[in-house]
Amino acid sequence: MVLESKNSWHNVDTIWLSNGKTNSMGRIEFKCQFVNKKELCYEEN
Amino acid sequence: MKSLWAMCTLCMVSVAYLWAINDDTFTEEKQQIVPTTQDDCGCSPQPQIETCVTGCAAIPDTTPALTKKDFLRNLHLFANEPLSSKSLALETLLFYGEVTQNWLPETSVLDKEHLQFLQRELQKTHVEIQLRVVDEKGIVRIELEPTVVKIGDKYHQHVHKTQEIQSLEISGTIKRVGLYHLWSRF
Repeated sequence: MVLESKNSWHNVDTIWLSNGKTNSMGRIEFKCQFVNKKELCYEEN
Repeated sequence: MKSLWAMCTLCMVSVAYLWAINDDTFTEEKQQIVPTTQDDCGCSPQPQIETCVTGCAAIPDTTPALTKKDFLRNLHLFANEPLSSKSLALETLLFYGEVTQNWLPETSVLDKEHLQFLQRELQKTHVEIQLRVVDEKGIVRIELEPTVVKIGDKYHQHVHKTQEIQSLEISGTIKRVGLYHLWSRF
């Protein structure tokens, strides 16, 4: 899927959640944002 | 005498039946190869072993390489276009970010503004991803905390932060497909 790089959630899919006792539909949310290489180096240092 | 003969026959049939069952039971399970269809990420059809857990992350990347000729053509197009997200030439250069980064110093077709803009965009080599699954009551049942992955590389993450559900793994790939857009498959 193609998503915009932003600091907010994208609804990407739904799944069926079950732990053997309770069941529910689950909404899958995904967030992705560009990270600047320099910022990454700064975080690692 | 007849009943004794019948008993012996029954025993022999039973032994043969049990032997046949055991023979099937102890036969090693054969892996079945099934062809998969072309994926929307551009991956080639790959054989998939049904007993393995596989996903797109396990499939080799078959994105065609950028040729020097195409690189120069897109660079010249970008040099003569306004700085905009609607530039296919710019987006092609960003899609092949690592190659562009390597070949860019050899060329001098860009003015200062275009060069600084492209170099700034090429610094964005990684992506921070987060994933969560929210149930019908609004409770976050599964959560992958902020994780930095490299654009173009396959990632594989174990998700342990769960509520009333077993831990899981996610894998996938992120690619840059525009000035502001990413392609993701997991």
